[in-house]
Parts: sequence; structure tokens; C-alpha cells
Amino acid sequence: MMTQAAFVYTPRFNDYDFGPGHPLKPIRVARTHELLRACGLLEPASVSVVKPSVADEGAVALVHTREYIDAVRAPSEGRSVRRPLEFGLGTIDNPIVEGLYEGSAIIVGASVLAADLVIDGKADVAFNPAGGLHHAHRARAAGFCVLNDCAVAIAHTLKRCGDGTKAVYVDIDAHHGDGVQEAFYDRRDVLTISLHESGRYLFPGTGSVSEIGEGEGKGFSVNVPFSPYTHDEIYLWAFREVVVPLLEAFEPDFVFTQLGVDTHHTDPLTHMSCTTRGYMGVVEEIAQRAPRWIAFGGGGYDVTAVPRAWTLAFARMAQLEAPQRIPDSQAEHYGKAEKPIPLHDAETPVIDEDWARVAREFAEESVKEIRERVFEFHGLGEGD
Amino acid sequence: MKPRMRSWIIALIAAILFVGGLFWVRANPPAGEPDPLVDARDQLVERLGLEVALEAGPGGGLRVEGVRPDSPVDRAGIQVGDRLMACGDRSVWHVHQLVQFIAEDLGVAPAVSLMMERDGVYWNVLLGGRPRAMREAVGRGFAQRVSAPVA
Repeated sequence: MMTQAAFVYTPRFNDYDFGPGHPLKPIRVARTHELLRACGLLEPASVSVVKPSVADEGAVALVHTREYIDAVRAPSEGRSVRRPLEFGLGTIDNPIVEGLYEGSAIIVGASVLAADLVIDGKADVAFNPAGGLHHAHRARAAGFCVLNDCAVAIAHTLKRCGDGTKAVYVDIDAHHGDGVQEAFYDRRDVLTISLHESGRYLFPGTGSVSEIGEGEGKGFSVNVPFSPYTHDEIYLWAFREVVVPLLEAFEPDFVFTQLGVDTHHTDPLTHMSCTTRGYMGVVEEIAQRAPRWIAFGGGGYDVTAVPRAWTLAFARMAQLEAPQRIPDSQAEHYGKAEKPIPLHDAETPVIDEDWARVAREFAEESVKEIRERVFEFHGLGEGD
Repeated sequence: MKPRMRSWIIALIAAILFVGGLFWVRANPPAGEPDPLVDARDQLVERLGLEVALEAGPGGGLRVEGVRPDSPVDRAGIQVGDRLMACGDRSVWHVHQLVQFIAEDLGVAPAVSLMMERDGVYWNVLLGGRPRAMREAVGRGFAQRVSAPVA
């Protein structure tokens, strides 16, 4: 049977906008929609484009405190927040802008809708490109994220499907998925796995292999830190060494993924050296193990890379073949229009040998530590 | 001097000595059982010139409460009111952890990496060691890196 795929989209995603100088540009999402459409990937009968609405406050409150929700709502209601910084609001990363709550809550609504479509069997896989705001904490905005749509969608799914439902969350953004980890840190029904550039070099500074969950949830938070200059081969190797066996052992009912593209070598905020090929290698590994799959966008700050990666990822989710080249109508956004531009990266970065060696050793150490600390909780031997 | 008056003075002196002694013991705990909290804070002040809150505040991270002039943290630009969010790549919720992490990191490398936050802006500080080529190269992006030798 054809895989039924849903693409959740509304032009209202443009409202999540922190201003012209801010790196999280809504155009990343709009261009993804345009590119998918131009590639004909939204046309097949097996694909539906679904319009979300603002999440209801009850859903948001599954993850966030009422006090915090109230603070996020304040600007929309013409109120001022007494101490915005305590909620992480009014900072350079998370400025207070008009319609902050609505702009955030439509994204939460989209992630919840993506989950509902899959739960109800209306789609096998669903993608919300505006989602993936994984740094939002229970009562604090951080790292461009105000409301944690990933955590809300997962909490909503568990609530709807009842006891015994298991969800896995795989986060391939270059930054640690700290907010989602925090939301489920003491639970064993949600396995959170974050692969990221080490907190030694990058915001939010956390995501150590030693963060493995607590209480009931011990062994159900997994962190795979990488060194700067980690390239496709190292990244994919580590993914296959730890994430694949954990995915298979956990046997989740639902797979949630945050598909940030900031591991890309051209990303202006991070220091990783991956390409769309490594990125798609990971997406392929997930696709083979995720019959019921809810995917969110995430980071990625090179606007010429992100829409291409998400287009490739959605095509794979929907089991459709992506074209080799970017259609002419979109070419101007992705390089010089004189020559045909491939959808995949045309270039692979050249990495200094010493740095590549450091990156490989770093990944080997992370994999070894995870095997020692986490595998036993999943009935996996250290050598499996 | 009347004998009764003398015993009253002796009692007073004894009381003063007793109270003073209590304060002295508090300030100088017996060597056998050091107060781990006081010890941890002293180590931070001595090694890094850093005074922090004992526990994380509502937004997470330990608030910087004091910076000794011309200390490593001072040279790295850390100020009172900044928040120390992570050490190495581990979140820090208590001063005990911070001391433990710093000891661990200095045991294997000549440097400690701290993730600091001020008004919502995060930046990396590298204390100790010499900035190696890789660390310098890592300076692109929004995590600024500062290197200051540990005393």
C-alpha cells in the first residue's frame, strides 16, 4: 500500500518572525513549501497538504506552566510582563514581538495536528517544517524557541493513546535537544535521543553522554555529542552504532524526529561538516524503522541548504522520488541560474586531516560511553 | 573587690570566651571534618576567582555572585549577575557539581569550558590552557571563546 504522507503548512508560519537580523528566518519554511510544490512532490494522491490551527491552551499546558503561558500571551493582550528575562523573553535570541503567542501556538498546533493525523491513521507519516522548537523549557524561552511543539506533540500522543504507548524522539539538529529531554527526563515511555555538536563548543552547552535520565527514566535519555568538523561518514557511523540498535530494541509505537539541518557544513551558527548526503543517510535509517512517523523541522540557518534538505527528507518520508535538479522556477534561490542546480549538495567540504581525526576519536569516545552507560537498560550488550 | 563581684566578672569573661570560641570554630572548622560546601566555594574562589550561588535559580544555571579582580574569570570577562549554565557539556544545578566537573576536566585536559549566559546571550569561556588552533577555528558562529589561564 502507498505510504500516506501529510505536509502540514500554513502561510501563518511566517508570523513566527523575530525580525530581519534574526537567524531563524521564516522564509526557510516558505521556501521549503515552494520547492516541494515546484518539484511536484505535493501532487500525488498519497500526499495531502493540511492546514493547522492554533493549539488549544490545554495542549500547550501539557508541557508549559500556566504562569509562563501567561507571560508569552502578555504582548498579544496588551499587558507587559514584569520580569520577562526570568522567562527568557526579551532577549536577543527570543525578543518580545507582536503576536508572539499566536505565532508560537500555530506551530504547536501544527505539530499536534501532525501527531493526530498519524494516530488516526489518516497518514503514515507527517511533517511540520515549522516545528522542532526543541530548546523551549517548561517555563523559559531559549535559543529561538518559545513553545516546545515537539514535547507538546509527544505528550499529547501519549495522553491520547493511553498507557503502554511508547514514543521515541530522535533529534538530529546540531544543537542539543535540551527542552525535550527535560520534559521526559524521568520517563521510560519516551526515549529521547539527541545527536549534536558538543556543548563544549555550542549552545546550549549541555547534552553530555552522562545525561541519561533519572529515576524511572534512567537509560531513556541518550546524548551523542560530536566534535566540530564531524563529517558525514563519522556522523552516520555513530548513528548506526547507537541509534539504530536503540530504535530496534525500544520498539516504539511512534517515531518523532527533529530534522534540523544545522549540521550542514555551510551553516553559519555551528561547526559541523556534514552534507545533504550524510543527512539523507540518517533520514534513510530512520525511514526504515518508522512506520508511524511524525517529523518536525528545526534549526538550519543557511537558507540555500535547508529547503533542499527538507524537500529530500519529505520525499523519502512519502516514499516518492525527488528530482535530481532544482526546477527552474526555484533556481534563483539556490545559486547561479545559468547552470542546473542539483537538489543534493554539489560540493563536499574538504576537512583538514588532523581535525577529521579529532572528530573521529571524539565520536568513538561518545559511542563507547553510550554503550557502557545506556545499552544495559535496553537489554543490549555493550558489544551488540 | 567583693568576692561576689569577682565571680560575676569571671562568668562574663567565660561567656565571652565561649561565644567567641563558637564564632572561631565556625570560621575555622576542625581540620578533620571540612564543610564540603565551604570547601567547594573556597576552591572556586582560589582557583578561578569565581563566587557563585549554591544552587540554580528558576531559569537554570548558577548566578555569579562575585568575581575576584584580575582572576581567570575576571580576565575572561565574566561579571557579577552572569549565569553559569554548563561546564564541559553538562548542565550545572549545584555548586558541588561545578567543583566536581572542574576537577574532572582539569584532570584530563588543561582547560575548563564554561557556558555562560547574560541577558539571554550565551557564550563559551575557556579557562586554562593555550588556545589551540582548533579552538580558535571554532570561534566562528555565536559562541565566542575566551581563553584565560587558570591560576
